[in-house]
Amino acid sequence: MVGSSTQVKQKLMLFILENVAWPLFIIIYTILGLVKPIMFSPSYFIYILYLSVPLGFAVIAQSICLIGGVLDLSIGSVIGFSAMLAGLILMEYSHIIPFWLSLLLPILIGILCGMFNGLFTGFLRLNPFIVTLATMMLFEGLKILISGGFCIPGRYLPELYLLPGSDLTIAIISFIVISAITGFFLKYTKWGIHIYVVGGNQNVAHMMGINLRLMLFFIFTLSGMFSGIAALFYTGFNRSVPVTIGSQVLFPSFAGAIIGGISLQGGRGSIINSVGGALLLGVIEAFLVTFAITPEARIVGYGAIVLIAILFNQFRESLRDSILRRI
Amino acid sequence: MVKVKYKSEGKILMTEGKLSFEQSTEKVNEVPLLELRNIHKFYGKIHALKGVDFKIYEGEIVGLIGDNGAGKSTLVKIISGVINKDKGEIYYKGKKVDIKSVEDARKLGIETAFQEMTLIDSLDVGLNIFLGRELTKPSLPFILDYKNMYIKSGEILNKLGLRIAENPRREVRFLSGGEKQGIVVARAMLFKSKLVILDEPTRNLSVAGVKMVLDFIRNLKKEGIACIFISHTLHHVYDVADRIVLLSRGEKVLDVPKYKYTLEELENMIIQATYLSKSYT
Repeated sequence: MVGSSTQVKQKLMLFILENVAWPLFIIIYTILGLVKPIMFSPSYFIYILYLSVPLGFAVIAQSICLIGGVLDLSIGSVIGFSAMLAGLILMEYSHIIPFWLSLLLPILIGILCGMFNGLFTGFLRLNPFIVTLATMMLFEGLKILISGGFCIPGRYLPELYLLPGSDLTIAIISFIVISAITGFFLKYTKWGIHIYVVGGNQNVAHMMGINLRLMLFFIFTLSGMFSGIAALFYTGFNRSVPVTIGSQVLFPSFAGAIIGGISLQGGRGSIINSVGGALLLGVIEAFLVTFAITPEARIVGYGAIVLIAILFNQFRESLRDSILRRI
Repeated sequence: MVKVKYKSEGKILMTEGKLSFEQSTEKVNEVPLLELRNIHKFYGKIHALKGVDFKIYEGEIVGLIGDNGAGKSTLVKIISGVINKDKGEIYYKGKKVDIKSVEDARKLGIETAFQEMTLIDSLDVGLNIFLGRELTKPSLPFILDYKNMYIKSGEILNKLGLRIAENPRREVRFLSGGEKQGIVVARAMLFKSKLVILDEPTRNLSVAGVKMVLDFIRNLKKEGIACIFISHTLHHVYDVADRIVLLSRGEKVLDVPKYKYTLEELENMIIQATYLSKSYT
């Protein structure tokens, strides 16, 4: 009986370690709530969920890339570019574009940007770091160029286009549904599990008959799609398309994924946990906003969070390994 | 059952004062299952395969041996579609085929267990066995059938007498070298087809493990499945092979039916073929 009780303990410990983003979310939420009791009110909690939605999609995009063993530095720029281009198109042609197409527009642009990345990294087998570094600058520059330096105010955009991002309920529910579908897709479909395989070892994937080039192309296309979705929700959240849209998403997208336990070596991690990571960032963000901390100081904060997250993840993985080795 | 014509010719042996007749297992007048003609492969400036001819018949076990860098792995990677040949032809049952990818090879019924452990460390045993050919639910062809995969993995590993059979959900990186090799062999057993290629399957294995692999190869033969068995050591190959093929520096220097020679004779021939550039093809 002693043996079984330690086994139960080990199983529990493993469960916590594997889903550490959620307990961490609760702990940090409680600590920050004790500092600022207003955080305990239900409406504030809903607000934090809402705040995390656009970033949450970016975190999912980055998580898929990291699971696939690559990283996408262009996520923020793709978000910015697709939000800006879709905004400009809708400003001119909203009267002829049907409502459903207007919602799909930033997503389609995001997918095209992702395919562009995938073309170079997948089919031409160029280094994803360099390729996405280049496209990061490319899309960022294009965004500013096409905007002409002006922000698109929300009143020039169709109200229905802003709705998903600006309505609390719609935003939160869409986020939950989409992330659940994504998590299921990754673990329970062939294409999904092949992302893990490619992330685990590209050579082995190739030798076992998985089309490596196509998979890398697919990974970046997915990343582009989620960046496009993030663009839609950022636009609604801001009720405008500022020139700076998406510029500061890249680092939090990493931070969220890493806090969520996505391994930087690739092939490991789950979407549910990176959603937890995104929520954790949302709490911290909300806390910083309530304390009216300057954007500059917040950048410092994000830098520190990424660093702590990597350290923490390393520790978490070695702890998990030592338990698994004993079982 | 595969019907095989044997040449009714053999070798009269004198052992302990008794005459015995050893039946030949050399096959004649039959179309090879797989035939490679004049295969060339270049890696940059290195000429890895210099016009190699190779054939294997249905249900035949070919022991492919040679030093490091002799071209064994290159040859089997061409057969299994991992790399493409630069020159030469491949015939499957007498018909010219083009094996361009692993998929192509699998369609022909060629299953390979590679020397490099083709395992994903971060995934569990069950998924690794079904890597690239995951089972899906019959009613929902898009959804993976984990339950079925774990059951089947457990069964096959059990047959191999591996302890990991109990827990097919364990991540592969926590397994020993022998257990990992076991998974690679299990994969070949599960997807047994027309031709199974085992690249150094006895590496990293204990004595019991080696015996298990050799038994497995014998079972393949019983079921009429051909097998290319690659090894550094002639001894493992000699036990089970019908024919021994030796590669040296990208050329085939020896290709003989085993029954004609004793282990010692073969060892001598291998040394002569490898170091004195004598040819026995």
